[in-house]
Amino acid sequence: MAEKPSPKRKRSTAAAKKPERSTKASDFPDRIFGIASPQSVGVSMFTPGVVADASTVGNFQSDPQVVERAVNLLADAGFEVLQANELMINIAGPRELYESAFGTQLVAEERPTLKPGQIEDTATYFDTTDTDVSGLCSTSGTRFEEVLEGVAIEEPAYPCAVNAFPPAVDYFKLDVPADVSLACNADQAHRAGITGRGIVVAMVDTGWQTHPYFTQRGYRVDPTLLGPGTVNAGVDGSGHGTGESANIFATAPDVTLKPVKAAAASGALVNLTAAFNAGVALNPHIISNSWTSDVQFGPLSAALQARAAAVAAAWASGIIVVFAAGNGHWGFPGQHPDVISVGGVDVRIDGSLRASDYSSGFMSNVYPNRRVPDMCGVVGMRPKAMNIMLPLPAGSEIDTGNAGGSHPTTGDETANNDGWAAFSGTSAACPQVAGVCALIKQACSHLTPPQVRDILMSTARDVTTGTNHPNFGNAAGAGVDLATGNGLVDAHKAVLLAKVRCLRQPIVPLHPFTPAIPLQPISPALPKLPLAPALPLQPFQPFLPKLPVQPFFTPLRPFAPVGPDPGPFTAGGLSEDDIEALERMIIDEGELPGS
Amino acid sequence: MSEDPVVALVLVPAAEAEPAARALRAEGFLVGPHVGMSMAITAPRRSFERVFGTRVEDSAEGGWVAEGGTRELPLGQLPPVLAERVEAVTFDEPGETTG
Repeated sequence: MAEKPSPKRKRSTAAAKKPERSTKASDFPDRIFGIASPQSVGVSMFTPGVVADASTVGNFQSDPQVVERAVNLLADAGFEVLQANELMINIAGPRELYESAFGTQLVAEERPTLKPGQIEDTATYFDTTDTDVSGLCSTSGTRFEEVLEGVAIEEPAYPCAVNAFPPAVDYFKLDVPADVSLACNADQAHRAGITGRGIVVAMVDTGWQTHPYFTQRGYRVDPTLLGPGTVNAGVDGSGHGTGESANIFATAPDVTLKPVKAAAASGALVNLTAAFNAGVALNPHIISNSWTSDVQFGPLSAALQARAAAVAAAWASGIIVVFAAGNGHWGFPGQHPDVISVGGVDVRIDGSLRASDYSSGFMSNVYPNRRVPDMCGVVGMRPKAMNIMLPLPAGSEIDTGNAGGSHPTTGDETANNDGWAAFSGTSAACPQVAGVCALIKQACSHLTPPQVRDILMSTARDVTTGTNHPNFGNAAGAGVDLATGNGLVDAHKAVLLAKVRCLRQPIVPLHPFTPAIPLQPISPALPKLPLAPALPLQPFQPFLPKLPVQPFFTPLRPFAPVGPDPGPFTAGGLSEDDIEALERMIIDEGELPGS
Repeated sequence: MSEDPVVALVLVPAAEAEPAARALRAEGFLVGPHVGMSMAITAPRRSFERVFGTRVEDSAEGGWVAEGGTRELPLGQLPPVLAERVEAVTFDEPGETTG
């Protein structure tokens, strides 16, 4: 074996070279990727000054038996071995594992970088304290010394162009927009011209970052509004907000999306109530919230009282508030009475439906008689619900976190910087249903939030098999249940029913606030909910309906004329009984003849 | 300790929101819209510590806590114009995405 120059360095020079380094646990992800180089037949690829090109690469190859021994040793130590060949072994593991295995200390360093979209930002690089080569763990003096010549910590990378098309994978999953739209039965509504046009959806999440998937389809996204305490409006370091927003456009391609960022630079959600309030102040028709706190019992803390009141105020002002029910959480505000609470249904390759065992469903202990969820969108199954391929910023937290591995247990089998990841959860179901709400509002703009919820629940497809998350273990059955509520959302039927209800309902302008949100003493003891009215709230002008109430009815093109005289279909020609019969036909049979 | 601005929720009746917001702005806080029963305030950590008379620390769960690990801030040191109106001031509870 050729003698290899040691890349070890003196710690004092390292400290002088890079003074702004962090060893705080919060600066490190749970999973750090590395490239281990097995001992080479020639020289180590980590030798300072050595350049790898086509003429020298043969020197870096390794004996297959050495590679195999190295793979086994790494796996025994606890690393995930993601890929191996004669040049290198791709591994992943937590910081502590690298430090114990290679006798080093990892440090995090923020370095300036240019991210996709020409965004100047910083990225977190990981380095060691014991070598001169940036990001290199030496194996000298460790049990890996015989088989590995070093381990390089992977660096963040940002491709110049992310593909608008999802990557090919070898398992069944749903693509956006087509598969999600089909699963929610939104295609037929789109064919009838109901696409969410003119409807504004705010989304409180980790932020939103541009991606060719959205731009090449011409989706409308307004600049991100920063929630209090957040920065970098054009960056979504998590990828959650960007990815989940594709679910909104899948069911309502013509909405205008207004992202509200509620994530710190680390990607962690912060100041959620303040961000929600900022979203409400945008005066959207709908506000979609794929986040939760876990609240099994009351009384609520002061902060959650404020959150509950914010939700109630938005709902009372006419904004349709949609929340994820949770993924095993006692979702809050997903259990609030004044939200549309969205759970999960798994759609299998043959089109059959079952309750998702990744999704929450329960009777609330905080709000008596509140059943969660109301209805469902599409969600995958445990262990990780990686079944919707969604676009997100390349190299973002979810892109790297779900990368590689083997579906469905350890990863989504995509690259860690390709701008795509398979994930779902009720985070995906929530914006799908928010999109359907947009279709309903386009079909009948004066429907109130409770009326929209009732339409969604009345038209959902019953799901009769499967059991929800094991934290609850509720089985689906015929009719309403705690696994899926009323079942899987059906956009086409919901739009049809909205049109019919638009015929019969008088135009009642939305009232501003009613004295339904009490202000309870907060400290020292909080009262249990439900709360008794205590203090009327003032009408809140900014939340008044944004769009003028539409005329009494709009022509219903999808309906076929009945009888020999194909005259115009008018509400005036229908009795209450007629309209009720139409409603029953939609709910019971799915659609009207000829629609 | 993080240098990020600190954010808290002020629980105040809607009728008292505007005068409370004016008083808070005078103390150097950015004040968000009042929705339901609360409005957000944002300021550097030292402003919170000065106005509320307590240390503000990073919470292991995310966000911040006051001395003693409570999310609610003490109101005893507030000027009368605020003390008379404000029901509570609290740091928000942590949350997580559901995807």
